[in-house]
Amino acid sequence: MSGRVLAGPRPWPSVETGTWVAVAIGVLVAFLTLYPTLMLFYGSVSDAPLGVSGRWTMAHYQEAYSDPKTYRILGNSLLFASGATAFSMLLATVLAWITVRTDAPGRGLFELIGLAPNVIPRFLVATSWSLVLSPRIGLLNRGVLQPLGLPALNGYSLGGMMFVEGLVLTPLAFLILSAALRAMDPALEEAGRIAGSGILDVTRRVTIPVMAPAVIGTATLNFARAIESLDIPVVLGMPVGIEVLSTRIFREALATLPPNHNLAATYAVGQLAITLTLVGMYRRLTALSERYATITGRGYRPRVIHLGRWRYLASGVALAILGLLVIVPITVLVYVSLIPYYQVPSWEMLSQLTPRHYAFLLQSNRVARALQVSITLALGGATVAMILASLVAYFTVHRRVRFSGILEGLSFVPWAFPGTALAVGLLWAYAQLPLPIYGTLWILLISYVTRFLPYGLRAMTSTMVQVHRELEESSRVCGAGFWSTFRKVLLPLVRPGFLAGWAILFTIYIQEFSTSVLLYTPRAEPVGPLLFHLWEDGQVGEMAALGILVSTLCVVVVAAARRWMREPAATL
Amino acid sequence: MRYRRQVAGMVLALLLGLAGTPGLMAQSDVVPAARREGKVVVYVAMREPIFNVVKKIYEGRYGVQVEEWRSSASGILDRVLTETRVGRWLFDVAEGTTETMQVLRDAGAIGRGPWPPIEGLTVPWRDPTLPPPYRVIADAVIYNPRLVPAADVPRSYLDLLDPKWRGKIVMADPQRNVTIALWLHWLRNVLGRDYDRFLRGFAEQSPAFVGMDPLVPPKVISGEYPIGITLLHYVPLFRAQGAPIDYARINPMMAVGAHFAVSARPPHPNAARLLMETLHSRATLLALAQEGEVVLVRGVRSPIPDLDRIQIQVAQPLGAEKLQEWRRELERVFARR
Repeated sequence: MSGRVLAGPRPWPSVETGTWVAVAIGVLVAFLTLYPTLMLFYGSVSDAPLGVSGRWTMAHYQEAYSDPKTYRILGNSLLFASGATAFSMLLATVLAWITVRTDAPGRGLFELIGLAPNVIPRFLVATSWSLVLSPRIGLLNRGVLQPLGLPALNGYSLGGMMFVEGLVLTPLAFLILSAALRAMDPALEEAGRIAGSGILDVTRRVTIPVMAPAVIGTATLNFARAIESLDIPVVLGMPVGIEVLSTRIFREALATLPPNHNLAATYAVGQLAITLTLVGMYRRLTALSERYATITGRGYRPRVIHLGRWRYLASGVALAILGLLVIVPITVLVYVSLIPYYQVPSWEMLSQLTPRHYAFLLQSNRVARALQVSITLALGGATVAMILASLVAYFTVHRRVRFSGILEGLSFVPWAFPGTALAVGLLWAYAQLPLPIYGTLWILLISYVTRFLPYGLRAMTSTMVQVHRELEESSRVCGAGFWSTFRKVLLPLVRPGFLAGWAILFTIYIQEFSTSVLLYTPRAEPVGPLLFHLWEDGQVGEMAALGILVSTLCVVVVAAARRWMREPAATL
Repeated sequence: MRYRRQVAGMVLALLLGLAGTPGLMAQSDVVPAARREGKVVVYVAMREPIFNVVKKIYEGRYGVQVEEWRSSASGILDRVLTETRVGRWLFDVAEGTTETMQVLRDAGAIGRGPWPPIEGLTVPWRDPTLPPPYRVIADAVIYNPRLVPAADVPRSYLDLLDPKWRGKIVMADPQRNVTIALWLHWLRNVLGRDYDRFLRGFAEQSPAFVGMDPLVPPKVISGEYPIGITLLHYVPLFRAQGAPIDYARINPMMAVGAHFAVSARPPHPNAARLLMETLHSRATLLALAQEGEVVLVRGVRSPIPDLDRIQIQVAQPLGAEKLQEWRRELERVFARR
């Protein structure tokens, strides 16, 4: 008898669940980000608008980039973004360190109210500061500097723009950095102290290098936000002729008749190149993630540094920062919500205070409907975005699948575009799809998740990079599959980052304007467009009152998230 | 016999009466059809408190729900063109200025009439392919009476060149705002030979630019700038709140037409037709005028003081290409200054 063995059917190659998940996430992120981006890219090389067949052309690039003025304006933009980023990082780092790592009194309060400015519409923040820093009627100038014989400060300047934009950028940076500080194992710092180094030495030689990925990542994030900022350059730069790229895009492309989306897309492609360069820099700097792993299997508890009598100074510094971030715009907002019309404070005006703008909120069906829509979108959108961000962060930072660089790059792509241009891209992308997305709430949810995914991603990668793989490996060795490990081991460890990102996304979504205003449907007007329309209709007091209401809601949500963040992490 | 003649006469009168009111015959079909449609979708730029007046009249009269989407005239233009080009006909009625309406008409996004007439319109309207303007948006020189004494209030456009106003005028950026760009162009007709001197001199006055018209009144009311150039309807709006604001009685005053038009393929055609009739009805126009809108219809008086003594001139649209050229010219004129 022959000993030949017949070959049976070949078994399927076993593919791990995690790989399937990685591929699925990659496809989803690619669709969400590339589809509207490709539509815009197509628009930049077509000579016809959406829905009209056209021919290839480079005429838009010639128009946009052959004008020497474009480069001067680009220089303004880079200078503006650099100054705003540097200022915001200084404030956020100091505030985060004081709040999370010291025993300064009141730090619980600092953390809570440090997030409040994030919900105030940016154009209102700019307008508030223009009331304070206007050389003619500014409260600071008329109330303090001029009586003291000091020269007036001028908010209508590049410096003024950097200052206010820096304040607007600070809350997000503060949230990410405080989450990263909270997740940091202080064992290294303790070792430094035991070896005889002082607090400042330990901070400089241990804390800062460990925090470097989070700091650099946050700075990258803020720089890109500042580059695409429109509200503050419009309010503070335009009156004195200071132009940046975003205002030029608006002037040249979107305010023409009819709007020239092809030209807007062309400028936006340029902004994309800048942001992708930033992403590339960031990834190179955080390539060696194990170097920064501090959450290990040994168990940890973030430790507070005792400052002694310096803690009161620390509290004073934090309060001063919060005064700039919160007290000034909130005070102006409260004031505007209580006066019959916009006016510099005076004794006469104080006697005319009225609650009628708040009464309007209670009586208006439109306001009730807008709150319902925005809260639904914020809750759902933040949750979806953070789950997606967690998975993306896992595969790009922690597990580093083969296409992790592409995946992370894709997540940042929509963010390179000005909000209005991205809204146009989304409009073009989904208006043509034969699916019931355009004209429903779904398009808003998709736009929010698409546009702000990098925010959640930054919160997650900054934290995820500090989790050592040994914890995951231990779980796998014990027989847990991908989802069990992800859900029961990783997510609890990165909970501070998850909740921090969730909270920040909630506050962003609830007031989101630049994509909502183009994509919302009749009878589903979110809060962001409603605030703008109230302002456009001269109902400034009502707008301010609604701003206060939404701010309060966000503080409550952030407080709840913060409470969950505080619970000790599980240890193995 | 006499009896038969009387009956025939009555029948004839009835038939003539019915023939003289063709809408009455159609209305009996349109209203139930509109109610079956259930709603009308409007893309509107008019201020919400004002549009609520229209909604109340319409919904009260016909019981058909109005759903609105709000934006500027340019934003509405953008959305309508985008949607209709990809075959999504989601709106029934859209609002726009004469400029934007021409673009929509040429793109086939709105119907070409016939449109319900506006009885007693004092502005000659000769384009049957566009609906007549139900109101006009007037640009005025506004000022803060607490900062500008009566003797200093500008009485002509050339008074804006007075050195005392240097650095003290605020207006919307003509690169972003069509109405202001048109205003600067329209002054050519008013000032004649003085126009070039005016334009150069006005640029040297270094007016402050803001992003949009709503930003101008707060800056004037707060005293940051004593003079502003913006939409006239902000004057009654803020005066009703007790704010120190007034407008300079300079003749003539420029305005642009504002129109509503029905979509070329409305999803709710009967409801849309009724809305157009409502918008052009005297009751609506009277109500709008009472709210401070400028309505150029005989017998409709505006509550804005002295407006009946001002000659409102409706500016002719420039067209997209000429407007773009003009804006480039303005950019050169106002280049830092």
